[in-house]
Amino acid sequence: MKSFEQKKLTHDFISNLIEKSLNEIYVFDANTLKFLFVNHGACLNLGYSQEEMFSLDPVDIKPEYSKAEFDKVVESLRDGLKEIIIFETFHERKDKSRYPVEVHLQMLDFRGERCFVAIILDITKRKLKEDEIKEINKKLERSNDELTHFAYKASHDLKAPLSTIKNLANFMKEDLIDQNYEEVSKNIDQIVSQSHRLENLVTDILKLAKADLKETKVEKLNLLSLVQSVIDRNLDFCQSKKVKIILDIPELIEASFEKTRIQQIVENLLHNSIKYSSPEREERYVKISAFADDELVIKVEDNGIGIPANKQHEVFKMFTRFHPEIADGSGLGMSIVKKGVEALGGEITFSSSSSGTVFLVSIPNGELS
Amino acid sequence: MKKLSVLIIDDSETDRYILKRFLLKTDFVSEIIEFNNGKNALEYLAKNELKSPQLVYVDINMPLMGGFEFLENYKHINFDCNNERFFYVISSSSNESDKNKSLSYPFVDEYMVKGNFTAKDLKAKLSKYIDV
Repeated sequence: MKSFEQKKLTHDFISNLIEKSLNEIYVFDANTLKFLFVNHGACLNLGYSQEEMFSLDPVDIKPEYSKAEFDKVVESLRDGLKEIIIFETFHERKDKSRYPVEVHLQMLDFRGERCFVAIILDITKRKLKEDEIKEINKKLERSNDELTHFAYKASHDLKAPLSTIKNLANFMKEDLIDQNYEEVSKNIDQIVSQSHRLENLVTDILKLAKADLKETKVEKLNLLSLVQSVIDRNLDFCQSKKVKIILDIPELIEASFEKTRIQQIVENLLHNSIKYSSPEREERYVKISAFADDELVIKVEDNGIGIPANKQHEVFKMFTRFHPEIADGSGLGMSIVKKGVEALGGEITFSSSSSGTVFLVSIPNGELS
Repeated sequence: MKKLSVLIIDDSETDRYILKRFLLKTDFVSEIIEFNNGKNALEYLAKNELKSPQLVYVDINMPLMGGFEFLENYKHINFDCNNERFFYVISSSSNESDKNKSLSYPFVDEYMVKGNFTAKDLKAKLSKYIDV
């Protein structure tokens, strides 16, 4: 048997414990729902004084519930079907702000009357983590879909030239027997060109695979000379398509970036602009402008045939080509660009119509980050 | 034995060449007409109110007018004798949806994936149109 003193000590200790707990603890009448006890933690979280709390009931602080709905929730406790119910909802503070809570509700006897005891956990942090996990899951799903799409399209696009080569080689065997050397020679040329296609495709797949790897080699670049070197490499292509290149890059702009990646981005955009130049226009041009302050901005503008409006949402999708009569590439170029830009923490946007296309790349300056 | 007149609609010259050589090997073919897009082929078929060609190979992904647009247009033109003309959709896509969409046209007999068939396969398929 505990002495009276001991009992009092235990009682005081527990009262203190409940009162000081930072979890919200409530006792309310099982029928009227009026609060009979509200601890300090509850007042603190909700911003009400204890007096104010006694004029409220649990429904008043639960914006997602009406009285009838709350009655339904606690029905199983009242009927004695359940000992405890746990559910998630929101509590509303005096200042009308809300926070997510987990409610643990039990029915007890309190001075001979039936009452509910509610212990409330503020789950704001848990919810944030859950949202974070959901976001990560979504990303994973997206990248999984991307991978499936990639495997499907890559295997298809790799297989097509291979079967062509196989067929042509079989024809060559027949033509050799027939001594039809002209045909054999034609097919050899075809096989060479198909092999080139295949080689380019594999190169692009490797580029794409590397595009989102983070490299650390950041160096000071002279933008004008970088763009100039890209143009030089594409000069023949430019001339064959009769496309004029206009540059608008201040001579002394220097910025710190990964050189190869910037080159790759500029080269792909330039190449596309030349490839999709409009044969119907007299004056074909690609204008490349760039400047850098706290970010590097590169604009590639052309008066080419444009991207069909109904295809614009697929621009960065892998293995997409919108103009089968022109596009003989891998269909990976823009995916490589986008991955590259994103790996540098930047973004790429575009606008396009039948009068031309503008791509805008902005990348935070490497020196600052 | 009555041989077939065949129309090939494909923008890839190499693919047309391969199909042509396969067709010639079957020995079931009397003539081959070629177009590199659906639009010109449709115009040709509209002008030619003949029974020929009896067999049409059409690719899906083509400039000007692709295979599906071609089939859709063909469906809406009232050809007197089109119940005796058969279409094979021939594509490099092995997508189920492309296949199902192609076969949903009553006049499309087959869906063939480029690179997945030989001259022998073709001969076996065509033999049903030949009165031996």
